[in-house]
Amino acid sequence: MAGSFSWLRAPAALLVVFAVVGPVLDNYQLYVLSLIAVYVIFATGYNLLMGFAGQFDVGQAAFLAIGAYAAAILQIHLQLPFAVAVIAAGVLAVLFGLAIGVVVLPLRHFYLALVTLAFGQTVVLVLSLWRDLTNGFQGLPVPRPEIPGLSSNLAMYYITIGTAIVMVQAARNLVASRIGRAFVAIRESEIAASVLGISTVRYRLIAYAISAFYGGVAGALLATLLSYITPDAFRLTETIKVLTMIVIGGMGSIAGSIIGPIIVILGAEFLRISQSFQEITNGALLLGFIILAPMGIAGLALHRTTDLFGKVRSLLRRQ
Amino acid sequence: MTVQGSIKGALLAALLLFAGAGAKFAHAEMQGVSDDAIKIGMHTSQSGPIAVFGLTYERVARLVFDEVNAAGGINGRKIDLIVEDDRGDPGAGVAAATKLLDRDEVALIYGGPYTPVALAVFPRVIDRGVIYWSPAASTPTLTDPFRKLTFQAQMTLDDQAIPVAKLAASFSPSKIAFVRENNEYGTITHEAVVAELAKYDLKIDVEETIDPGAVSAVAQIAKIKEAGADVVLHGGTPKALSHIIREAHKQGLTAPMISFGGGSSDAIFELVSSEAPIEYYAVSPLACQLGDACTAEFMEKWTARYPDQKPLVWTAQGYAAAKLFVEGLRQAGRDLTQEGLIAAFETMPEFSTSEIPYPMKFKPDNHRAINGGYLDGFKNGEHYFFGDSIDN
Amino acid sequence: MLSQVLVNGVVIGCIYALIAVGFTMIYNATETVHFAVGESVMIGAYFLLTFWIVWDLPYLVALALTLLSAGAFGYAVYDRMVSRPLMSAGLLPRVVGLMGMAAIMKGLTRIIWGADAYHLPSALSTDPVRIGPIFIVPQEILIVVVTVAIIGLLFLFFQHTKLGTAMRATSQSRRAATLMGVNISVVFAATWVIGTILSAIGGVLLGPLLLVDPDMGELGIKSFTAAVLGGFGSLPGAIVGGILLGVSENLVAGYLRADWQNAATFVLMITVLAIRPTGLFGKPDKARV
Repeated sequence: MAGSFSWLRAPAALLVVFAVVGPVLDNYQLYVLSLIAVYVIFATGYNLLMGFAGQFDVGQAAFLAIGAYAAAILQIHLQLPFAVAVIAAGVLAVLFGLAIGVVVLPLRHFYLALVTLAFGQTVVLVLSLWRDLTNGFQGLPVPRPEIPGLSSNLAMYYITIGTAIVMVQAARNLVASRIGRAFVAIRESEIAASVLGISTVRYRLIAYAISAFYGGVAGALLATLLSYITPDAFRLTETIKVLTMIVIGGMGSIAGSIIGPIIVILGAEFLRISQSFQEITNGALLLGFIILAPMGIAGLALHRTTDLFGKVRSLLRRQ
Repeated sequence: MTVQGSIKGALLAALLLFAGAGAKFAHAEMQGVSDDAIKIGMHTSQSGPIAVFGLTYERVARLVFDEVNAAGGINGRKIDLIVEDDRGDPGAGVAAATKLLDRDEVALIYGGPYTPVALAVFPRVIDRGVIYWSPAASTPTLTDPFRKLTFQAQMTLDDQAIPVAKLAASFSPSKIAFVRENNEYGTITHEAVVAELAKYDLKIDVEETIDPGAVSAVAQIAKIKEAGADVVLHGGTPKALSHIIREAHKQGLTAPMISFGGGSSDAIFELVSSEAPIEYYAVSPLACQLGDACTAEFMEKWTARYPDQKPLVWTAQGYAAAKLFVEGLRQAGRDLTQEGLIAAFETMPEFSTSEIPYPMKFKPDNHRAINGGYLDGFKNGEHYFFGDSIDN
Repeated sequence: MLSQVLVNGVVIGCIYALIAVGFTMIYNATETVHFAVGESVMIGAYFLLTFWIVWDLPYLVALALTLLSAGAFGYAVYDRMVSRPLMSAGLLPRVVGLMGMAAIMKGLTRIIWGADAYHLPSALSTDPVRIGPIFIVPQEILIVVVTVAIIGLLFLFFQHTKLGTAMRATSQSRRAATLMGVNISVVFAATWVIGTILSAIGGVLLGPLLLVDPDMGELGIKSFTAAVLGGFGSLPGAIVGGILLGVSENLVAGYLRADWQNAATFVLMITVLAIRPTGLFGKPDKARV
């Protein structure tokens, strides 16, 4: 399904394009594009768990938090180099992902949602109470990596965009593999999947581990991009933000995981012109997109004949 | 055109539109300063958890700057205030500040009230060699340790602890309780008040916490009452505080309650003067109660401009801060540089306003302008207002 | 202290239960997870504030107007503007649509009423009453009485009215209900109207116990917790789940630490769901994501 976006087939070409435009962008553009890249990573991981494997998890911000704090603490206290800290943050998130994955194994649907929701809140709580390590609610400054010859904003742009392209490509390969097909089988019917010889326990845990890794890496990059983190930044609103992104982009679609963050983040930046009405215009943007494309933008592409304007007309007629 | 084609087209167009425009790098003179205007960028929370403060600081800045512009501006330049919503979200706040610095090329950043956002934004701003001037944020971290490029014209929470501890000590308490809100505000106020109480050989005996979104404080008050505390301190925001006050009244807890600036809210004063008449005090940045003589000038201008908006105690404080800011710009003269501005703020004479009890003054080694805090309170249905200076 | 904490836990639990019942009704009939339920609570409080305090109408008139407006709002906004356009879409698109609507409502509230917190007075005396070791204010007694009354009325409504029976039939099988001649769109409209009125009653009852502000809808998430804990889709479950949540939160604040409330709720949920993976009163695996 993602394959119809042919420009995504050439991540290398994309990498070159972004590398070439980097130096002519101003800091605001670099920052917003970096932010989009971070959320593309986060959304891709979440979509693997939620959209492909069908696990109704609403505690995903926990992995973002774990990754962010791990990267910050490993660099501050252990003086680990940036790249090592980011990978270690991803790995640590995987351990937590496996743990929560085991806890929720007997649960489905809303029951799974509720426990993961509480897991997310508990992680924020621990981060706020473990003050020796995290400095509590007052938060931690996060060091920024230096690449000789590049401004720190340009460096972050290359790091985030590069990581996003690599991780999206990895996810594309994954969904086309046996694992990806097993995810979809579990989503459609766990019983049928196990009849086919697919171990639901094993693949649910794999889905948790992979999405936690994406969340952890995204968290490490987000922390570095923001250069200051507090536990409050990882509350339920973060999960809701990324949930909105994948629903608007397209559940169960890698392309959707890219489109969603672009629409939500870029939309919010464009809507800055609406000044103090931004909360309303942003809400209307979400509502409008979801009514026009309930299956997500990537879902629209599946129905080539769908006519957006016809859809608007029929909606108006129905009212 | 197929849907798929139009999506691709639209997304690319959006990205290009975004990546287009801009990208000018001319730094001959100070950014944001032209012959007839100076651009000031403000990030504030127009939505999100503390929109009530974010909006009031924006409105009062517009009020003061428009008035300055109507009178001919500063040294021949009009103030061009550009406001961006940080939505109470650090990521959006950094985006707002970066846009202001790089797109709008503002001369300096006038900060908003929400601490998590301010903490994420200010390092970005000062890394660029640009001043971060906050009339609103109360976090001590902004100016402690001392930073050349950050200025704060708001009472910091550690400074607020001084009158809180002093009043608490005046009751000669045998047991002190502290209700800490479960957030950054609660943590800082708690630390600050512990340090101040130590000066009176006092400590906190009963520690309680409350969630900012709590719907009840019954357990906390029951425990405080059982422990026999005779002074209750509070660091937090009005919503959770309203439960503490109602519960104290309901369970008949007679100990006086002292809150930080977060408790200086109309709704709270209404509560303690009607439904839950307990003995209650809160830190106020003002020299009198809002609406009394010291705020007469402010109230008149505010009501003329925003007849439908109720001002807060912090609106009047933001008014004084904005006047101080304007005066600093004026003193810096017509040839503006960041260094010149810093020097002007540091060396300008004491600045007195009727709203703030003590003259405001930045020093070369201390960029906090406010030197005194009063307490506003109710006891037996009577209104009390008193204060003392802070030895900065 | 124990009795004080327990009694207050039941009071708060009643509010959770009331909102959770509306939430569950809406889910049962329309398969919509009502993510803007907290905002319905908010508008209930704001409508009352406007009619009673600002317009200065007599309390009962203001209350009636509040409930009417909330019902109209439920129909015009939730049913017509979100639920229907997204009827054929899945569960998550409707959640996102409702979150978009919640943001619009909060933004409009900030513009219409301002971002300030308001103190909504109680219609009853605010002097505490002492019953043995327990202190209670009349508003808290009212909360329990009204909750019990409403739950009783709902029971009668579902068992003994045509519309109530149609709603029950729809929640069991939309197709079978249609075949039996139930007008689904009337059932949906009625569900949104009643569900929104229930949430608004929650706001009216709770308003005098807290400060009313545009972000007060955040407590909506508690009704989700209550509904799931009790067993998603079960009305008795929503009531028991709400009260259980209210009591356990208060016990944690009383005997452990208030800042552990969320973690303790987590432990409680894992324990309940380990014993019964579909909640206290839930039927096994009805829901589909």
